[in-house]
Amino acid sequence: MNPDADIIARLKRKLEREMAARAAAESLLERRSAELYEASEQLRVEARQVKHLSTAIDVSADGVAITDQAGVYTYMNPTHASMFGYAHPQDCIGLSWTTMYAQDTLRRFESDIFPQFQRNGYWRGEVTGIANDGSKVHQDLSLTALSDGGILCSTRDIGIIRRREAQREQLHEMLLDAERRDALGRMAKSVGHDFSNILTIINASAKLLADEMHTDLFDILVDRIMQSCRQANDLVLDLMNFDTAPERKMCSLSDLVRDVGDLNSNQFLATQGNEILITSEKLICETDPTLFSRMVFNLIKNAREAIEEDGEVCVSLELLEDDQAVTPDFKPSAFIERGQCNSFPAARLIVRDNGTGMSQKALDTAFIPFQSTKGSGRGIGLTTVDALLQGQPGRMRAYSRPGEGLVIVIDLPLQTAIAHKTDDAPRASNVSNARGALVVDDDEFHMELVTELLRKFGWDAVGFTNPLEALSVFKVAPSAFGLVMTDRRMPQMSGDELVQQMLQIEPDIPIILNSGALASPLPVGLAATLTKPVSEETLWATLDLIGRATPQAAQD
Amino acid sequence: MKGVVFRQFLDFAEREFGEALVDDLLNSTPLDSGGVYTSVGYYDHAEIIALVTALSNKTGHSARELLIKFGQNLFPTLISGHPQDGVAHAFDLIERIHGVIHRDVRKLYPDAEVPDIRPHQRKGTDELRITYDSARPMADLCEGMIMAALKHYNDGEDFEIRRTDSKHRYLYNADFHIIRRDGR
Repeated sequence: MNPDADIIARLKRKLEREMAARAAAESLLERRSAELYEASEQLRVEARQVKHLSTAIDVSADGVAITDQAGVYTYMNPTHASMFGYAHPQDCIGLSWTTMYAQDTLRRFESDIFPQFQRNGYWRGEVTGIANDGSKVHQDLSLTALSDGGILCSTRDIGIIRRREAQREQLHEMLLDAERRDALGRMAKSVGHDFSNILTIINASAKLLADEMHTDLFDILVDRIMQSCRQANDLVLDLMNFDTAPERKMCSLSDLVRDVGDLNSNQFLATQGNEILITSEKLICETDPTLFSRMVFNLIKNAREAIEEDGEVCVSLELLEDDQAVTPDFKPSAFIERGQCNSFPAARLIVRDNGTGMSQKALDTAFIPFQSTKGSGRGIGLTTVDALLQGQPGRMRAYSRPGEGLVIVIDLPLQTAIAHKTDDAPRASNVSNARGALVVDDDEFHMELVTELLRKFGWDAVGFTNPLEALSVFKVAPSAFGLVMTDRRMPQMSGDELVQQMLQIEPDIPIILNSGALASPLPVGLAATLTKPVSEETLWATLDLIGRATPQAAQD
Repeated sequence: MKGVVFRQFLDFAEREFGEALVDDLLNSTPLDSGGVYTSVGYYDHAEIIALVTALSNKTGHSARELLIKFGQNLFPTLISGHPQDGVAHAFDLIERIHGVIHRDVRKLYPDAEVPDIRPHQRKGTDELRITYDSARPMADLCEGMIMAALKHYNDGEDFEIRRTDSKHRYLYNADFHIIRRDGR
């Protein structure tokens, strides 16, 4: 074989091998390049996810920290740092986790927590840390073992939760106490009211006897009876004023509704809806915070008791710039309205439920003390609405349809509205000179006694035991009356309500509220008050004070 | 096994025995790759054993002799391509193999199967014991590279390499006891 040809053939084979190697290398490089691109894309996606997660951890409401194998913090989010009183997480990086706990807690870590942690790779529980300023940090702490020997710590400051729970507990206790006192007070008033009527009869009878029989011994005995009656009456007054004076002060209704809503939230079943919608506006109103809270509590409680297992209760508090109608989700077949709201802006509290609803009859009596349809579960506690509206301007409207639900709307003028209202010019005086006198008292004997005394003074007095009947007569001929005397506590309608309605019809009619229960707040627009039992002298003195001792005096 | 080793072996054979012999070697040895190697590719390590065996048959040199000599040739190429800053003694370099160098190799070539070369006793610059453990029977190549490393860093100094192969894993597992011959 030709040596040159042999060399050429060998070089040719070498060249072919080199070309094949080059092609293989290029192919490999292309493949690797593609793989590298895919890997870098994947890395970019993962880096983005890590960044999102990192941001989420940074802004998390829970504290998150990571330690290395030696227990030194390598990461801490701002919440964790802030929880322990550090302005910046960087201030904690490089610190040992042991700097954040007291010696006794560290002993607990050694003896109890770490053995469990090492066994399970996880531990969760409550511990108390020490903040930078030495204060205690009550934590709900989770520890998770990391593959590199470090620890992931997730923590939540439960001091706030504990304080919040304590506040709720306090509120709950306060409401329960108020309920108990209210029940006791109502019982005392009821007894006092009835006893007062008895005293009136004894007193009046003794007076009549004294007028008829004039022997010294008899006078002494009658005096003793009347003296005893006065003393008994003082006792009755004390009894009837039992702890009922509302404590009115400026309150944020938003805070009260939120607190009471929270308090009720754990009473609902998981399947029941419970929504609390509270405006971000601060709604300030002068009210009795305990009474208001009790009212909201009772309304929510009633609503909850009325719904089925899949029912819903929605409580909302909103700002009402002017009067607006309410549209229930159903067509109401029952409606009731109490009180007035003429001043705006006002706060509007709405409690809606899709429960059993109430009939007109049930609704009519649900808000009257001792008359509510107890047992049905809807009347109990609704008297707090009345109690609240007696003490401050406001309006309650209730819409219902049996089987569909109940919507209770309470509008309370805000402080700004009331201040504006009091700036209004006073009404022009237009006192009636009529001879007619209207006497209203559910106690027939007392009604007749006052009616007789007024007649004796020259008035054409007419008496009613039912305030609704009296009101209907007054509506027909308001100008026929120059004087009204009314009891305060009556089953069909309260004296306060009657006074308001009569003043709406005839703003200048002089009205005397005659009751054994004259605790504040009294209805606006009264001419005078007169405490039971009434005597000829006390009635004359009161009428004389307002220039109405007789119809003639009124005309003068 | 990394393609660079095959290419270096063929270059070494060409330098030592001529282009014609290497051509004959590649033509006559059955190889899956067909004797086509790229530095960045991976090839079955059985091919290097087949090539060493065939070269031994063709040249009359023992496989051990060829591999030691190849190791002595391979080391300068590798060290010139990957200079090790701060290393002043061969023992320092050998100690870096496990912790630093092989970690860097894996960075570049994640699939690389590097041998386990662990130092376990050192007395200054006089004595070093290391263990070679690999999935391939390349203890001779390792020995050649140790020799080259000693020469590269400690030219003029005389070291003795006492090698003890594992009874059951001959050529796969061996202890190297490197000791200064003059006893300084």
